Amino acid sequence: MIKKKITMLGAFAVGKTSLVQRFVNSIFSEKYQTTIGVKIDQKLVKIDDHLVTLMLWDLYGEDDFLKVKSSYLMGSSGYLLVADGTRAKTLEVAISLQKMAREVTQNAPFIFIINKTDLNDLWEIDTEAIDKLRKSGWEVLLTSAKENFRVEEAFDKLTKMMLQQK
Amino acid sequence: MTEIINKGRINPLIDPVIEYVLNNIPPYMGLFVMQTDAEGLLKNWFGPWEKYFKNSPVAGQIIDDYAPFLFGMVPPLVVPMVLSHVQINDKTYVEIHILADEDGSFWVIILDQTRQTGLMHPIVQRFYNSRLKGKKDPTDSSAKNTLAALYLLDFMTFNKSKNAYKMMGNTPDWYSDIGKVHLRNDKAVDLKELFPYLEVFEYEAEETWSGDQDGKVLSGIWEETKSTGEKLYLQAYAIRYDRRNYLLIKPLSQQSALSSEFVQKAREQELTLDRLAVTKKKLKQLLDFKDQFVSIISHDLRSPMGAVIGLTELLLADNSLTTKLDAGQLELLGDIRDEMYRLLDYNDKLYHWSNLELGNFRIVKKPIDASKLISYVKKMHLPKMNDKNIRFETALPASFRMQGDETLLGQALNNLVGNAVKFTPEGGTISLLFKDDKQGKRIEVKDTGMGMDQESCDKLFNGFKRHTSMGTKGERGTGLGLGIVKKIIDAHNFNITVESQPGAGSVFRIQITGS
Ligand SMILES: Nc1nc2c(ncn2[C@@H]2O[C@H](COP(=O)(O)OP(=O)(O)OP(=O)(O)O)[C@@H](O)[C@H]2O)c(=O)[nH]1
Ligand SMILES: [Mg+2]
Repeated sequence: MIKKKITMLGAFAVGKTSLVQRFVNSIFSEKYQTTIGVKIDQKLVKIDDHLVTLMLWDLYGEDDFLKVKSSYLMGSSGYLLVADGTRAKTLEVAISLQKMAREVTQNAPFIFIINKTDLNDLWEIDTEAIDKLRKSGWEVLLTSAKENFRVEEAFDKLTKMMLQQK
Repeated sequence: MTEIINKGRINPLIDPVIEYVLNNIPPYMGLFVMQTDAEGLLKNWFGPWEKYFKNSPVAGQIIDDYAPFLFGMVPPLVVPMVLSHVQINDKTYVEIHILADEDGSFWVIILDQTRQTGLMHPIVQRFYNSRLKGKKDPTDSSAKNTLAALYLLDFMTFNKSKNAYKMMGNTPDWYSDIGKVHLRNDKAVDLKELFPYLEVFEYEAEETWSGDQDGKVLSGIWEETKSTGEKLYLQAYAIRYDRRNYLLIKPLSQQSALSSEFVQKAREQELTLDRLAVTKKKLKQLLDFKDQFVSIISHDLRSPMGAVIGLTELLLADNSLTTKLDAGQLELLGDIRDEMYRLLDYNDKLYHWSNLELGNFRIVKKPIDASKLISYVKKMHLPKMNDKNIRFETALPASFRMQGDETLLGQALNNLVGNAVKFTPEGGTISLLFKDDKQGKRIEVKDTGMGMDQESCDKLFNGFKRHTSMGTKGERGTGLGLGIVKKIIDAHNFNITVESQPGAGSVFRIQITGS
């Protein structure tokens, strides 16, 4: 059986835990409970006839005081870089985290997730910024952990990318 | 042992262990209780005194004669007073609690802590010794035994050989709470399967484990969920001691739980602030939109208003018409014209206001011909001043030079003088004075009007006024005038102040800087 590690990366409160919980346990909670350290969940998925055990490393979010340590990323076959569409600041955090992740994982595949699409009227990240990232080669996906919008797709897509990498 | 701790020089590795011993060992064995009166004379005792003392206590004896280690502690400084790990003789460690009751007696409770202390003692001793003297403990196996007993203190302990981890001792209680597989002592464990987080930590630990020297490294924190749904935070230590490698896992203490609560609070607060900032931005957009809207509308209204005024003027100038109208009708027509002028003026002010709010005015400072400003302002207000029989004084030193935006400054002075006219009664005086002396360059608009109190002065320049005051002849204002003046002066980086007292007139002073 193939086993792959996926790391969740992003600023605090962007919805990393919510995305994992939605994907693994099909639940969502409005209550914000910040992650301390790392929480590891597993999920068995079937991609093109391959059974893959995903080890999902849900890291604490980065802020001015808590920087994400690169060692957490070691052994990751891929990562989900998460930002919160209602907080433009989280996009900058994601961009700087990606630089670190790219080095540690030696260019492992990743998907950039902009989460909380359900909060339309609070949206802060404009389409131009997103287009720019896409043009630079980023895979960008807009999701909602709350409304279960494109969450599974994000994980599946990343898993496929990881399997293709080899 | 307490002495060792007080020196504060123990290897940091065992600090949390000691802390645990000090704080959490439950009283369970050899309870011995003594009661004294308020003077500290023994009254009663219960329990196995022979565990701790050579002789039986005697009623009426001073307690610290009987138990010298209690010297100075009865009466206690605080109640309850608790002291742990007090070594009372060669072999015995006790925990002491001293309480007071309402009748004024004191209770001394003694618990045996020898076993727990004994458990820790070799570890403390070994690390302490090896640090101070670099000497090795000859009884190597004792290290093994003490490490194996650490589960009593909530640690999971593993011996690490080349590729395998073997558990030492037993599993602590928390391990069964998180519902992992059952572990057997001394069998190789797939630790990374059990705690995937350790896969990453191994990289960091390897440096310590493969080193020449004793050492330890602390892992990051990871989270497990208990079967009750509660969260449990764990942390690992990799230890190299005496060319052997160990891995210890321990749940985080309450103190760390506190600090995680702190992180949570801080983050929640930051989120709230973020949201506030967004709301503020939205509000600003909305306000800008409002100003834009006002700006466009007032601009577009200008020409139809002008047209109506022009038409009324035409009618009033048309003799063939005016001769046919009676006095009342003529007056009506005149009123229409006057009201339209007022409306136009109001509209202009709105237009200026909204543009100033939007920051659409860019100030271009150029040398200004002050005499032109004076004659402009005079022309605008002469009819009204004549109406009210107001004297208009001006002053302009020949040497006066300044830079600014002539149109905007004209507008500002126009508003100030207009204001003065409004509030100055018949027969009063209004002065427009340009000054350049020791107090610097300035423009003053002075009147002998009704003046105002301090509070009104303070509020004067704050944008829209809710209530505009009536002039001396019931003139109405727009409530925009002084707000515009302030904006214009600010845009120039000049400064405007007002001096006034009820009944004593007002002076508006524009202090000119930088030109
Ligand atoms: N409306 C909405 N809220 C969401 C969504 N995803 C997460 N949230 C909320 O956002 C907050 C933070 O979510 P978490 O999943 O804890 O975020 P995190 O990135 O794990 O945060 P840290 O662990 O502190 O780094 C919670 O209150 C969630 O309920 C979403 O798609 N829509
Ligand atoms: Mg989280």
